[in-house]
Amino acid sequence: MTRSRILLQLQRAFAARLLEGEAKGASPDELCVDALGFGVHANNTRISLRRAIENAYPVTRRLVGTDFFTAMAGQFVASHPPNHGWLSAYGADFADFVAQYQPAADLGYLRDVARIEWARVRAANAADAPGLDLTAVARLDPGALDGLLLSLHVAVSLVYSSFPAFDIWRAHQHNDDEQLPQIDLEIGPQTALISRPAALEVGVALLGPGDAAFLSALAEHSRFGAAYQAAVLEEADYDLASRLGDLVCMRALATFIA
Amino acid sequence: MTRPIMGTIGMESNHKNQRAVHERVRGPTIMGLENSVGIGLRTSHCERFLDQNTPPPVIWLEALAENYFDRGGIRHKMLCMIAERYPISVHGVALSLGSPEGLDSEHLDRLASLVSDVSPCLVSEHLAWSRSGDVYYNELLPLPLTDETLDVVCANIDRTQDRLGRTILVENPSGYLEFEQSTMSEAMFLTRLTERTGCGLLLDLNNLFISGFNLGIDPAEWLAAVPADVIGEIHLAGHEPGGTADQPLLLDTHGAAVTDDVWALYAAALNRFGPRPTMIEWDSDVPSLELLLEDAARAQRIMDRVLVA
Repeated sequence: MTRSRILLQLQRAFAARLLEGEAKGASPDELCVDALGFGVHANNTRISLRRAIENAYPVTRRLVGTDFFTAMAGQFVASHPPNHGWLSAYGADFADFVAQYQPAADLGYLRDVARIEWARVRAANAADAPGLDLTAVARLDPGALDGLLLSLHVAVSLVYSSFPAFDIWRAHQHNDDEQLPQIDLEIGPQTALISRPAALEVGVALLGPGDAAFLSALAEHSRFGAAYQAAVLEEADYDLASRLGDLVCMRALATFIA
Repeated sequence: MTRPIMGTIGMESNHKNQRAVHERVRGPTIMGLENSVGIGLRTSHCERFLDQNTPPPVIWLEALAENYFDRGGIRHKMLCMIAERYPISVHGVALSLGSPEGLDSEHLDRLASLVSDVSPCLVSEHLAWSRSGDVYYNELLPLPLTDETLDVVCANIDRTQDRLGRTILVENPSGYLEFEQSTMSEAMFLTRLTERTGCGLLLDLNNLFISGFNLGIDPAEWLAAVPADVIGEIHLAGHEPGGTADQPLLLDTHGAAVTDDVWALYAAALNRFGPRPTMIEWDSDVPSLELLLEDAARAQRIMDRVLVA
C-alpha cells in the first residue's frame, strides 16, 4: 500500500477538519480544494450525524428543547464520532455525555431518560432469540430450580434511576406540551425494563421493587433461588409464580439449556 | 449488443481465499427488472409493503444496506418479510471503496450477511470514501481521480466482489470540489474501474447534473464517453440550491422532487443506453408513498417510449 500513501495522507488531512465547528471548518490549505465545496461535506457530516442522535433520542430532545439539544448533540458528534458505518450502533455513549454536559447539570434525570432511549434502540435491533418457556421450568425437578441459572433475554436492558425516569419518559411521548402531567421528582427511584415482547415490538415497563431485584440479580448471574431471595428482601410478599408469568410475557428472560 | 452486469443471482459466496472469477453476465439477467422502475424503501413506508390486501404497485425496492446491518431485530425482520414479496436492490453508502486503508472486514461481513438474507437483484455502492482511521464520517467524501486512487478502488471492489460472489454497481458521485491532483475525467475513471474489476455502474443522473453545475462536467460528454453495457441501474432524485450568491452550488439533498433538467437527462440517457432499471431516490423529508409512485410512473412512461422507439 506504499503507492497509496499520498491518498492516505490526503484523506487524513481532509478528515481532520470535517468535524470542527462551523467557524473553524475551513478546508486545509495543503489540500488546495475549494473552501465552499469542502464546507458542503463538513456540513453534511455534522448534520447527518446529529440527526442520527436526534432520531435515537427524541424524548431527551423534547425535554430540553430543539436548540439546547442541537448544541448538545453537536458537541457529542464532534467529540464522539462513530466507529462503525452503520448508525444503529451510533450514540451508545450519549447518555454518559449528557451526564457530564455542564449546561444540563441541573437536569439529573436526563441521563437516565437517555439510557431508556438507547435501551429501546438496542432492543429494536437485538438478535432474534426465543424467550423463556415456562413449561420448561415446570418440567424441572423442584430440587433443581434453586440452582437454575437463568439469563436475561438478549434484547433486554434494565435501567435503574434514582429519579422517576420512567414516568418522565412516558409523559413525553408526544410533542403535546399541554397534556403533560406533573411529575414529582421526589417520588424516588424507578427501574425500567426495556424488552422486545414480540418480533416487531419494543416494550418499556416500570418494574416493581421485587421484579427489579429479581432481574438485577439474574443479570449479575445469581442463581434462581438467590434471585428470588433478593426479590423477597425488597418485596416481602413477592409472588414469584405470577410474576414469572408476567416477565415471560414481556420476554424478559432467555431460554435455558437444562 | 451485450447487456449488463447484474451479477449472478443467488450464487453462493466464495471462500475468502479463493479468488472468484467475475464475468459480466451476458443477456438479460435481472428477472424482468431491466425495463422497470423501483423506489427507495423508507422506514415510514415499510408497513405499506406488508399490507396483504393492497400492496403498493411498484416492481422493486431499493434498501439502504447499512440500515439493516443488525442481523436480527425489527428492521431486519421487516426487510426480510418485504423481500419475500418484492425484489430488493441493496444499496450501500458506507463501505468506503476509496479507502487506501482497505475495507473494514466487519462492514463487509455484515453486507455479505444482508446479501445472503435478502438475495438482492442488484448490489451497489459509491465511488467515495467515508472512513479515516477508525472514524466513520457518514458522508460520501470525494476522491482525486488518479492512477493511485484507481488502484485503491479496484482492490477494494475486487475484495467486495470476491466476498459477495457477485459483481456490484458503483455509483458516480455528486461533486462539490475537485482535486488539482486529478489526472483523468470521472467518465474515464469509472470506465477503467469497470474494465479492471468487471463491476458495473449505477448512473445517478441527479449526481451527474449536480457535478455538471458545480464542477463543469458536461453530462452529454459523460453519457457519450461511458460504454452502454456497463450501466446497470439509473437513479433519479432531487436537488436543492446552495452555496453563495457569488458561487452558487447545487446540493444533493435527496429531499426534493426530481427536477425537469434531470427528467430531460433521463430521456437522453435512455436514448443512449437503452432501458435500464431505474430508481426514484428520496431520503430526507420523505413524502407520501403516493408521490413516489407518481414519479416512478412518470419514469416508467419515459422508459416505455424508449422501448417502443
